[in-house]
Amino acid sequence: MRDARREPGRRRHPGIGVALACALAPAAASGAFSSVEPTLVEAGSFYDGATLRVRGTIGERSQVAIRVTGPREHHAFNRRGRIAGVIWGGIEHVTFHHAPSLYAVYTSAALGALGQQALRQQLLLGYETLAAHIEVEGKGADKGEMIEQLVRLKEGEGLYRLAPGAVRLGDGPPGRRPFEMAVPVPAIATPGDIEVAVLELADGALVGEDLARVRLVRVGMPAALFRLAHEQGALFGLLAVFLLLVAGVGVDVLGSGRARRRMHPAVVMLMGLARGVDDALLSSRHRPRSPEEVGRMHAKYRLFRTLLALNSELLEVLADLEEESSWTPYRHPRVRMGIRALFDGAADMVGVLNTLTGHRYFDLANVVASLRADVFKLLARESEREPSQLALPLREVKSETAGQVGDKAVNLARVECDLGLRIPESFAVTIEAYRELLETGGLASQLRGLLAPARLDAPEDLRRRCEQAQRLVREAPVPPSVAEAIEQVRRACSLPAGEGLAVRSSAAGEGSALSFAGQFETYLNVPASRLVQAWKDVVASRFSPRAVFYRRAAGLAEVDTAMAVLVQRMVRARSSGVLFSRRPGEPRGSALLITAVRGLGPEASAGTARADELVVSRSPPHRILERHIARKPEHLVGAEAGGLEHRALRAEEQVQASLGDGEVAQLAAAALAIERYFGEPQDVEWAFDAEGQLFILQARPLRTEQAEAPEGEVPRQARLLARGGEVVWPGRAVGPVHVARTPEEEERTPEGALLVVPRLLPDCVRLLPRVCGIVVERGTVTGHAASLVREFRIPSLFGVAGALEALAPGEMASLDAAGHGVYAGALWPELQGRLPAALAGDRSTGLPDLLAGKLTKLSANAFMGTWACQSLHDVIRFAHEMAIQSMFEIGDRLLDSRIGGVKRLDCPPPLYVHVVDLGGGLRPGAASKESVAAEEVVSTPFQGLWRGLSDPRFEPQRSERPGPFGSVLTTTMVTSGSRELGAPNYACITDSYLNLSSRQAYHFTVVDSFLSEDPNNNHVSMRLRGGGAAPRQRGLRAELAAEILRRNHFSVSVRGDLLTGWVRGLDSAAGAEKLAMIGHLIRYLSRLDMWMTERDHVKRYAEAFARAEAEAVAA
Amino acid sequence: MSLFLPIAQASVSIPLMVAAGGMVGLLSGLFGVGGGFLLTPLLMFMGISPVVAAASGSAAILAAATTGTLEHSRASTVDFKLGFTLFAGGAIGSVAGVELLHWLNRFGPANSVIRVLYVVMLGTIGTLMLVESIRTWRRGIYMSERRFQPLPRRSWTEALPGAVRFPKSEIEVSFLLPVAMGVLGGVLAALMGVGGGFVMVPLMLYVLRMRMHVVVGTSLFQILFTSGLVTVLQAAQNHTVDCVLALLLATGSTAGAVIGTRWGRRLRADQLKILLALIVLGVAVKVTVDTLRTPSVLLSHVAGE
Repeated sequence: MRDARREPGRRRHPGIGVALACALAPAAASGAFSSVEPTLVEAGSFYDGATLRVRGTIGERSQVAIRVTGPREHHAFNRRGRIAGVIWGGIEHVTFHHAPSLYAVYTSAALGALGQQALRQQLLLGYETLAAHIEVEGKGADKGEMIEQLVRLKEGEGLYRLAPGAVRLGDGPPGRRPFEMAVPVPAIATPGDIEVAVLELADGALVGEDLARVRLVRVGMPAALFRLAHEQGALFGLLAVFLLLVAGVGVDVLGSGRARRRMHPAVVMLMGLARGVDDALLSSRHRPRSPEEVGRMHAKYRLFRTLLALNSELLEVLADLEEESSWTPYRHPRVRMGIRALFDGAADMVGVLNTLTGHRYFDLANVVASLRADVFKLLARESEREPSQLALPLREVKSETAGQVGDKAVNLARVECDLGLRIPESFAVTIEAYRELLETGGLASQLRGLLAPARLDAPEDLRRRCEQAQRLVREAPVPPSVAEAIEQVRRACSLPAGEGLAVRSSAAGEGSALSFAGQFETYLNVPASRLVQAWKDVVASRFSPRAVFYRRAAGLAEVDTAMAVLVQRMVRARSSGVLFSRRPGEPRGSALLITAVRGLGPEASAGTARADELVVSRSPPHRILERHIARKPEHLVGAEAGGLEHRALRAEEQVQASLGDGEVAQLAAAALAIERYFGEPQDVEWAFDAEGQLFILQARPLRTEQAEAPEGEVPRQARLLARGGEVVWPGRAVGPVHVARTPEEEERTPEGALLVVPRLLPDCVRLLPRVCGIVVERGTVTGHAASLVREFRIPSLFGVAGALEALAPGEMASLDAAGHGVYAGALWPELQGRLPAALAGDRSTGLPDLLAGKLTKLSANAFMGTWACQSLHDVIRFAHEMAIQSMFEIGDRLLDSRIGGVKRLDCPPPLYVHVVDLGGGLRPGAASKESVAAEEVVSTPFQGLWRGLSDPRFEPQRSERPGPFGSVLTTTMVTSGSRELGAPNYACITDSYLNLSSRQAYHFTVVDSFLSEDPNNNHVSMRLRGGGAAPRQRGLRAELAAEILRRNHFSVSVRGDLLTGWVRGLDSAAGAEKLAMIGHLIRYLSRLDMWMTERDHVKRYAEAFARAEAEAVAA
Repeated sequence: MSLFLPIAQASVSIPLMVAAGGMVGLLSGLFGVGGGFLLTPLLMFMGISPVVAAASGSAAILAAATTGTLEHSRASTVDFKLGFTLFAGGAIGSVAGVELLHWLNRFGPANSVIRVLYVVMLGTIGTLMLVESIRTWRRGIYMSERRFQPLPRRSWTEALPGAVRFPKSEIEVSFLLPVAMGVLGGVLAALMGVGGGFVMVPLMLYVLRMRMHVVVGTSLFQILFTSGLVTVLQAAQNHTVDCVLALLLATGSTAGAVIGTRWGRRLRADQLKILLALIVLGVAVKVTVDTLRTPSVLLSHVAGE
C-alpha cells in the first residue's frame, strides 16, 4: 500500500489553538466564525464516503475559501513515456513526497480575486501552490509537469478538487453573510486526520482562519480486516484462499443439487443420513397403495419396450450399413438410403427416450439434427467432386487426384516431385478403371456373392472361393474405355511399344499403416501388347487367398482397398535391391540396411535370393559398418520376348559386391531424404541402371515399433537349443515346437505353436494368427514375409542355422528373439498360449473417416453426457443406456411410494418378494390370486434370478478358510438376519423383463434385466448401494462385488459405495445364467460387510464365491 | 446497495460487482482462461487501484476455478495428472520469471518490450486459431498451389524423451512438454502480470493436441493453483487482497463458471475455439491500442510484483 506518513499541521495563526481544542469535540467543531460537522467519520462496512458540512458567517465584504487537506503521503508511480518513438510504456519510477492524499479548495470567488499570489501561496490555495511543498524524486522528470500529472491523476480519482465560486454566500444578519458548503470526502480517501481550513479573506488579506480536524477512521469489519491484512499478511492470504475455495465448492453444491444422477459427495452423505432416518420411520408406517403408480409403471414399461425395439432395429440398420458400405461406394443410393433410415430411427429413439425420462435428454435431439446436417452436407460435397480419370500419368498426380491412384503411386510421385529423386517413367491405372471393370457385366455382385460367405477358419473353402473369384476377374472383358485410356496414357508418357514395362499393384491403403507386403502380383518386363492383360492379372491378385485373408484379418473393407495399378518403364538394372532406413530389430540404432543383387531385384525383395547385405551408417558420410558379400551364381534380366530369365554370372562377378561404395552413399542419402520427407522409417526398392543412375522404384513405411521390453533375464540354467539369426520382431514366446517342412505340414500348425520352418513365404499370412513365435532357417529380414511377421508382431528369428534339427517337434520351447536364442522348456509360463494381437482393432466400414466418425464410430466416453455423443452410434448406445438407467428408478419409486404387496410370492423365509406384473409375467391362472408361487412366474429373467436367490448354499462363511457351505454357523446367520431380510422386495416383471428392487436394512439393491430373442436388446444390470457397516467396510464390500462381477465379465463402475455392473448383448440363456449368479451374489453379500475389515478379504471372498459358483454350476 | 471495501478502500455497488464477477466466471467456464485481463481494467474503471484489483481479481478467479473444476470433473473432463504437471512447471516458471524481470529491468524499460512480444504472440496465436478453427468449422478443402499438400507431420513433440501417458487427455507425450508449457505460462504470468490461460489453452490444443473440453477443464484446474498462489503471495507481501471484494466477485464468478461450463458442453469444440480466438485477438487489439495511444495521464500506479 501507499506509504502514509503524516506531516504535522502548519500553524500560522494564533486562532489555531481554539481550532485544535474544538477538533477534539465529537460532533462538530466550532471555530470563531465557522463550524464543521462531523469531526469523526467512521468507515464501516457500508461506508460510501462522507460529506462534511461547513457553515459559518463572514463579514459583508469578505470572501471565503474552504481548504480540505488530507494526510501527507509518499506516492510512488510509474512514469509513462514513449519508447522507441512508438509505444507507450513505463520508463521510470517517480515518487512524490509530502503530497496530500486529499486536497480540495472551495471558494466563493475566483481564486485570483481572493488575493495576491504570495497570499495564496501562504494559504495553499490552488494547485500551483502545492508544488513548493512536494518533492519529486525521479531522474528524467520535470517537476512542474510531474505535479501537473499527479493532479490530473488525483482529480480523476476524485481526491483533488478546485471549485472556485462553489461557495454561495447568503443574506444574513446585518453586516454578516452566512455560507454553507457540503464538502464530499470520497470513499477512497486515506484514513487519518483531514484538516479543514475555513479562510476569510477581505481586500486581498487574511481576515480570519478557522482550522478544524476531521478524523477518518476505519471501524468494525473493515478495520479488523485491514489490521489483519497488514499485520498477518500470509495468514490473511491463506484465509482468503480458504474462504474462496469454500465459496466455490458451495456454489458447486448448489448448482449441482438438481442433477440427481451425479450428486455431490457431500449431498450424497446428507441424503444417506436422511434416508436412514426415513427408513427407521417407515418401518412403523404403511402408506396406502396407489394404483395410478402401477399404471404409470405400465406406461413406462411400454415405452421402454418401444425403445428396445428401436434399438435392435437401428443396430441392424447400422450393421447393414457397415456391410453394404464395405462393398459398395458410399455415394451409392443404397448406402444413402441406409443412412437416411438410420437418422430417422435415431430421431424416433431419442423422442421415446425423452418421453421416458421426462425430457431429461432434450439436447440429444439437437445432436442428432446437427449430425444429420453434417452428414448430408458431406455427402452433397462429395458428389460434387470432379470426375475421375481412368489412367493418369504420375507427373499429373496431385493431392486432389491422389485418392485415385493408390498409395504406392502417390508416394512415388511425391518422391519425384518434392524430393527430386529419379523414378522411371510411370503412369497409374486408377481405381476408377478398377471400378469400371467391376461394374461391367455385374462382376462386382458376382464377387460379393462369392466372397461374402467366405470364412477365415475354413481355409479350404476360402481358397476355392478365391480361386474362382480370380478366374472371374481374369476372364472378365476389359471395358473398351479402360483399354483405350491405358493405351493413350502409355503413349503420352513416352513409353514406346517396344519398351518393357513393370506392372505393380498400388492398392488404396497399401503402403500406409498396413503394408500388404508382397500380397499382390507384380509383372516385370511386360510388353505393351500384354499390358491390359497384365493389369487385369494384377487386379485378380487382389482376390488371392492370401490377400483376401489379410484384408479380413486386418478388418479392411472391400471398397477401401480398391486396386489401382502402377505401370513403370522397366529399368535395365545393373544392380537392384531393397533398403531399410532402420535396421529391423534395432529401430533406434544408427544404421540402415541395404540388400543388393546384380540385375533385377524381385527375388531380393521377396527375400528368396542370395543377396549382399550392407549395414551402413545413417549419418553422413554413410560409412559401411558391415559388409556381407554373398556368392551369387546367377542374376535376373529381362528376356527379349518379355518376362525374366536367370543368367549365369562370370566367376569373378559372382563374388563381387553388387554396389560400389559411392553408390552406397548415394543410395543411403536418398533413402534418408525419403525418410525425412515421410517422417517415418522407410522400406525403399531401388535400382541402378547401366549408366549408374539411381532410380527409386517404390517407397513405403517400415514397421519398426518396439515390442514391449522383455521382463527379466533368461534363467542361467536354461538349456540353449539354438541360437543366432536376425531379429525380425523382438520379444519372447513360449509354445510347443511345430516343424513344418512342406506346405501340408504348415497347414497342420496347431494354435499357439512355435513355428519352425526352413523358409517363410509371403503366403504364410494365413498361419500367422495361429503361431506364438517363428524360427526360420533361411530368409532375409528385408523380405516380404518378414514384413508380414512384423505386422503381426510375432517374436521371430530369421536365419537360425540348423534350427530344424535342433528343435524337436512337440517339445515345449521358449524363444527369446531379442536375445537370439531358443531354450528348452517353458521359461516364461505366463506367455504360453499368447497369440499375436489382431492387426487393426476396429473393423473398418468402408465409409470415409469423416462419415464413419459421424455415423458408426463409437467413442469411449459417450456415456458422460449428450454433449459427448460424437456419432449416431454413440447416440443410439447412449439412449439405450439412459433408458436402462431410468428403469432403475422404477425401483426407487416403488420403494418410496410403498405400494402394498400387489402379489405376494410364496417363498420360504428369509425372502419376501412382492410381484408387480406389468404384462405377461404370470401364468394365466395366477392373476386372480393374492399370492403366487415362484413357478407361476413365467418371466425369463425372474426365473434366472430366482434360481440364484433361492439357493441356500450361498451364505458366506465367517471361518478363516471358507469351508463347505451349509454349516451350522451359516444357518444361524441367516436366521438371525431374517428380520432385516424381512422387508419387502419388489419385482416388476413381464415375460421378458425384470426389475427387482430390495432394501434390506441399509442395503439397497436393484437388478434390472431384459431378456428376449434378440441379444442386441438384452441386458443384465445391477446396482448396489449402502450397507449397515462403516464406510470402509461398505467400500470393501463394493469392491468385492465389483471384483466378482468383473470375473463374470460384467462392466463395472464404482463410485463411493455405489456400484453399477452391467452386461449387454447376451442371448437369453446366458443372461439367465448371469442373473442366477447375481442371485447368489445378493445372498452372499447380504451380511458380508460386517466381516470385511481387511483389503485381502476382497480377494479371499471373491475366490470363495468363485469356487462355490463353480460347484453350483457343476451340480 | 454498496459496500465499503477495507483494503481497496473504496465503496462499490454490490450488483455491479456480482455482474462483473459473473462475466469473468462465464469466460472461465467456457474457455478455461482466468479472465483477469477483463476483470482488472473493469475494477480499475470502478475506482479500485490496479494493484488491489489484480490481487483481489485473482482471488475471485480462484473461486470460479474451483466451481468450474468441480463441474468439469463431474463430466470427467479434467486431467488432474496433466494439471499437476503443468502447475509444477508453472511454479518453476513464476520464480524464474520474477528473477528474469529483475535482471531485465537493469537494462531499461523491459516491461514495454515484453508487452510488445506479448501482443505479437497473442496476435499470432489468435489468428492461427481463428483460421484453423474456421477451416475445421467449414470443413472446406483448400486447394493448394503445390501439387501435393504437405504430409501430416509426425510432430516433433513425439521425439522428446520421457513419454508419459495422460489417459484422460488421450495423449502420450514427454512429461517435459507440459512442464515446459507450465514454465512458459509461469514466466509470462510473472513478466506480464497476467494469468497464462491465453497461452496455455492454445498450447494444450495445438501442441498437446488435446480435446477442447478436456483443455478447458484441465486449464481451470491448473488456474486453481496459480491463482491461489498469487493470492497468498499478494496478501503476504503487498497486502493487496481485498477479501470483501473477492467474495463479492466470487458470488458472480462461481455462478458464471457453472453456467459457462454447461454452455460449453452445448457448443461444439470448433465453435468454442472460434470464440476463444476472437477473444484472444480482442485482447491483443486492446493491448496494442493501450500501447500506442497517448495516455491521458502520464503516471500510472506501480503494480505489485
